[in-house]
Amino acid sequence: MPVTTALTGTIVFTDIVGFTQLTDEHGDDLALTLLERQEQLVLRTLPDGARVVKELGDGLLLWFDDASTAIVTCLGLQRAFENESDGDMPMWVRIGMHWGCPRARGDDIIGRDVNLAARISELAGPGEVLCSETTADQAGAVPGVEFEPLGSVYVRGIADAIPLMRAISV
Amino acid sequence: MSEPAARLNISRRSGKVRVIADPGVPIAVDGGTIESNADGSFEIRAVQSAVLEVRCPTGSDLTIATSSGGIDVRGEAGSVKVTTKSGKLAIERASSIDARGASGRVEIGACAGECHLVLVSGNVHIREAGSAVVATVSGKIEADAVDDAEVKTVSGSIELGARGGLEARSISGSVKISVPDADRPATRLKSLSGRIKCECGQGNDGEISAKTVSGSISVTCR
Repeated sequence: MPVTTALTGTIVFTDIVGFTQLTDEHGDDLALTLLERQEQLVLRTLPDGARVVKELGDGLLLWFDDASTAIVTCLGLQRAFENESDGDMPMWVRIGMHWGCPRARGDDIIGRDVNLAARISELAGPGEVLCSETTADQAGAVPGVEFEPLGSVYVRGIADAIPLMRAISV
Repeated sequence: MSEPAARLNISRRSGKVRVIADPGVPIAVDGGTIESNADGSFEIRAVQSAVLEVRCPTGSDLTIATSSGGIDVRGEAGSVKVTTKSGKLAIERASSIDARGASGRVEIGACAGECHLVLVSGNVHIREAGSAVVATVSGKIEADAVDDAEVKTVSGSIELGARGGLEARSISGSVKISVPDADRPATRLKSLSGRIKCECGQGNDGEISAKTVSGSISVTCR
């Protein structure tokens, strides 16, 4: 059995909506520009205790030590992406997160909780930040943030339906 | 005595779910089990059957989770929240709607408040809504009469009947907006490489904002 380290924190997936179509219509140079814009904004915004785990095509896997910082940072990121969208090319990004205990594998993280965070991000619309109820519970009361329950969701590979929330800046 | 509106959490991994909200009817479940929660809501789960059918009083709030299979809400519901991966979703009347999923056709009859839909693919038709917030990757988005709408699609087409403020964003899909014949809306239309056509005179009858990368934009009077 390989030796692994269990971590506790918040797993975040970002994903540029429409990236494939934009690349197809406007070429690889635009694709690179969009990826760089996303990465720059994220790197500029990430606080201490957070890092980019890896790039995933048109998205990023991020790690935050705590849930409330993850939520506040991601809502701020969405505002930054929206400002970027004022130009000719839209920067529509969906974000999903889950608080859990993945395993570290080098710099990477793996496990059920990582898979669940990825599935949650797939349900977010452009500009939205979705999280599991576990994440919202872990974050507790976050100034300037409200959580709207969206009901439960069945996701591939996980037996029980997972309660889902939308984080909103207020 | 008529039954008060209820809060129902309905879940079924796969298979059809039908909810009928009628005035004064007591809650009844066919094809599933029902348990009451401490907060007064009810948990309804399907057992093996072709259709999970739930009857409830008008105005009941519904939270429905499925992975696949159609969802049909008839009558007049309260707030309706749906998550699904595939299958047709039809809601006749609701006070508000939040539905998200991967694919499948969505038919909304009337939504008094906000109708929020997030889909990957599949056609969306909203007959009437107070406000509509819709995001898709592909598929046609149609709204016949909405007071306010904020619609985004990557490659799907958008057809909106305007009654108030509209904001449509698309990458490659076309945007068609029709306004009442006598209206003179304030329009802001922009496309990087798509054609733009506006048949309406400018005025203050609502605001229409449409922006695409390569999709065409047209604003017509009806």
